[in-house]
Amino acid sequence: MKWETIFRRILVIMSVIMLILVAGIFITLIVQSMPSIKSLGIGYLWGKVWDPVNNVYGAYPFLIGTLLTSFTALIISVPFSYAISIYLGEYNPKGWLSNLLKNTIELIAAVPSIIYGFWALFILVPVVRIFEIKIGVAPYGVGVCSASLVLAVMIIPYAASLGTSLIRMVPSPLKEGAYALGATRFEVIRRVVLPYTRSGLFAGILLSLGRALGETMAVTVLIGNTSAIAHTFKEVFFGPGNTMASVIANEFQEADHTMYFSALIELGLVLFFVTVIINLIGKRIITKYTNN
Amino acid sequence: MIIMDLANQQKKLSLQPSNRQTVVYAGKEKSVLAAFLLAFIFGPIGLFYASIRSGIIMTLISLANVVLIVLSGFNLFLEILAVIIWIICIVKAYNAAKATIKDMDRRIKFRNNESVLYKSFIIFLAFVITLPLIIVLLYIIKQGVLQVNWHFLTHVPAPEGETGGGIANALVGSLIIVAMSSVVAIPIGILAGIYLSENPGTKLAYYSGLCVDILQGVPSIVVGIIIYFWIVKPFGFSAVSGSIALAIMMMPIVIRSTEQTLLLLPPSLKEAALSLGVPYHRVILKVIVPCGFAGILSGIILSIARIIGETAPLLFTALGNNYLSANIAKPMESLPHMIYTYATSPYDDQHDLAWGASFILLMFVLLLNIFTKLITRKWNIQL
Repeated sequence: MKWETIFRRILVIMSVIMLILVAGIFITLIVQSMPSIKSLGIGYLWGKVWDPVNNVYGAYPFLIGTLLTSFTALIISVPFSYAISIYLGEYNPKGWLSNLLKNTIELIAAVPSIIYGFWALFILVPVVRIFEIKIGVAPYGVGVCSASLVLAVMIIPYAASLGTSLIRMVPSPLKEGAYALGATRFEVIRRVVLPYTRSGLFAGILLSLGRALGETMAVTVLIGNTSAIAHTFKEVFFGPGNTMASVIANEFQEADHTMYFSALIELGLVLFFVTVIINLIGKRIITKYTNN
Repeated sequence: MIIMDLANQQKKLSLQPSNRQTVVYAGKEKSVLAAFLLAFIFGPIGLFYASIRSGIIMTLISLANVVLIVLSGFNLFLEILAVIIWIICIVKAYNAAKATIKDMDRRIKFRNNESVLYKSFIIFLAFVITLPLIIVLLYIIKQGVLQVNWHFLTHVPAPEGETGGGIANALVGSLIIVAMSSVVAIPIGILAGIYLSENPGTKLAYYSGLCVDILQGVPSIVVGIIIYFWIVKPFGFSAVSGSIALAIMMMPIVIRSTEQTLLLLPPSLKEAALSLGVPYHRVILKVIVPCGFAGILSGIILSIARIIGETAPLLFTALGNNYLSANIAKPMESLPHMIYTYATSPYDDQHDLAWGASFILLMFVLLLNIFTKLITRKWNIQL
């Protein structure tokens, strides 16, 4: 066979490997979580008790933990990532200061998550504990609150870098038209730039959310790891909890019987599904946006 | 100063001729009382206080009046009354216009202030978020740099509760694991990236690209689970399984950077080579890839920087090992895994080891990132 044909075949095989990988991940997760899907059904998702000793499995505490940490982190991070996008995209797109800020933001994403977790465990948790004593809740320190704070910092770069490049793509005739009508800088940003980039910025937030949902190590170190579910919102927010990723990281090796094992893998399946869907929606919005 | 056209304002004042413009100068408002007194005392000359034009007109009328008196003895008695009414009308119109301008001034000032305030707010938010990073970096460096010495780098950790020891096992383990995953991921990544950039319209490229996107978003812990079933269950915990888990995380980054770099190359390069009769595979390997080499290289380095700190995929695969080991079929320690186990342990000595390990890991990541920056700057690539 000619080398050329072999080379072309190799290229095709390599890209088919990607399909096989994703299909393999999906099938493996489904097959391995089959025992728990079969015996627990859909009620698994809102079962409130997670008690492996008595073979009772419910994912509700982890769903709540994941959603609470992710969305709190998202709410904290959105103003910052917007500000960074607007500053780097509109106010100061060139020059050493904007380069410095851009590289610093990229560095935030580069620092391994376990280092954030480790640092926060020794520095942030005591601070949170002091705060908790002040407002009069049980001073665990570790918990949803600490985890969300660290998570918020960690996910900023994803939305910020996307937002920056999208804001730079706003056509200048639009902006110049607004300036010519006497609009101030703020009015141009609020009435022209932000409406024009709205869907793109939303996609950036979705990508950040995908990161937050799947983030494992920093959260595992900080969340406190309790599968019990607290009653009041204050207890839930400041007390220890568990997320889907952290419960897998903590209990996967302890799982000693099939049901326990496959219940954990079903968590992984749910996590996989949710993050994949969020990521795909985000990417779809971005391609649609950049093509227009 | 500001001269404003306020035709609308004037239409409301019935005494004012509607086609005239009230010219308003910056400064204070004019007083109605002063205008009345001036008009009463100085007659037409006082009108100059209200406006120069009306002053001239009224003075001319007065002169005409004087001429009239001299010539015919006929006196326009009502002149002073007209002067007074006129001056008050002009001053009132002037003040109304002035008030509007003041209002507009206030509005413009408000909008300007709003704009400046917004800008400072944005700058504040954008820069304040670098603080946590700086604090983390400084703290890790402060805690870690004291730990690092030759002994630390060349010894395995001391048993629990004992002082001393180092991170040699994790250092060697991390390097071996990352090297192995690079060996797996880089060829696959580059070749798949070439396919995606060479066949952008095909169905396979579309679905393959979709899968790359999916792989990029898969939570790292899920990759760990998958490799546990694929490799650990049949063959046991090993460094190889950890490498493959990391390779899966590495591939999407290499693929995307390769694809994006190659798409930026001008098509004439390929066409020129093909027209000289060079076979396709040689065109790709000898022309296209070398031209995009810098971009591909920076993507590779970036992906290494990304995976060297990954802990979650190693939890159930490479596991961990307290001893120095180069056997890739056995469990192996790695820097992030070591940080995780020692950070959550109760011993202070182990915390110190973890700070040292964090420092080393951080330095690796920072150096790799700076290296990528230098490459992309030198070859002017956008990633």
